[in-house]
Amino acid sequence: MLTIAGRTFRSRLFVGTGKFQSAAVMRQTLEASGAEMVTVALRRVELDNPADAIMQALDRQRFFFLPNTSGARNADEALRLARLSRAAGGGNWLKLEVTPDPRTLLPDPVETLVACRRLVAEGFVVLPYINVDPVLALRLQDEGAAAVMPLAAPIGSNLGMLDAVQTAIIIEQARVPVVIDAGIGSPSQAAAAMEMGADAVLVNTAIAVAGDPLRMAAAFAQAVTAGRDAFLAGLPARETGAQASSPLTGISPARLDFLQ
Amino acid sequence: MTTSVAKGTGKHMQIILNGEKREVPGQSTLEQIIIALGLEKATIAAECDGSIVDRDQYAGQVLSEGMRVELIRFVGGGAC
Repeated sequence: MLTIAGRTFRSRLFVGTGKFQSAAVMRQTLEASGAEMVTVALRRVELDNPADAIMQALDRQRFFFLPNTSGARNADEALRLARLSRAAGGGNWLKLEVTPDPRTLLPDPVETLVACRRLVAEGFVVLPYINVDPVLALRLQDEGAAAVMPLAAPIGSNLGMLDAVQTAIIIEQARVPVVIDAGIGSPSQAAAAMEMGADAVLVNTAIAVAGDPLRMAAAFAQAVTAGRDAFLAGLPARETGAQASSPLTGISPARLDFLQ
Repeated sequence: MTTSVAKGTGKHMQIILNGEKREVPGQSTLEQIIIALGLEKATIAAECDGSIVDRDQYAGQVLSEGMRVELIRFVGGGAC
């Protein structure tokens, strides 16, 4: 069981709710994923299309909402979105995203730290989205972050984990859960992150844009479970050369004489 | 584009609703605007001139000429 800020989750696969073809496909896919934590975003009501599809599509008893602050370019904007999220009934959990550059969508470490401090002071449960920076990850934990969410690769890139060395340091040092976020493009990449000891992964694009999103969601669910089990079971050390897995003892020299 | 969102009589005023100019009856309340749009109060958040208005204050929040009103809701999203 994964515990974040006192709340337990059976599934270590978190799923984003963007980019789905329809609300119906999203709902069915989330069910197929087994996910309990789902991320949502906040946007202006479209005045010409005011139906709130996501709130009608998702059972809040079944899916725990993790609202994000996507779109925020600095700490002030993140605070504004956080307060709006709470006012809209989104609760006090928050995936803190501060991304000043729309080209890279990489998180701003300074503004993220400032926002985390202020949000924690306002009673929010903060899960910051960060670059793969072990020092920042520790600083955010000092500020009261409930988890840290280092990216695997730029959002939507599907590249998988680009910096396993630094990510491993974050995981090794962490006093809170580590959720690998953004850029995971395949179940094998998710499994690899879990094998390293990540506590959970967040996937959106790879599931939402798959030809068969339900099947892909199930594939990710299996991969996350497999990766977690492998981590718990204990992986063997990597070796540079061959290490026979068949016994080399008990071979009589005479048996090989026929080659002479 | 300027359109009316709340029916009423008497003098109209202009507000900036989600960035768009809108004509609404004078003395409209936030609640009247939300109802006129057919929105579910329980799933949105509202700001007037940058300040969040609590849900139980919608009926008492009278709008004024030029007020910037933001109506926000949850949408599908993963990151960024």
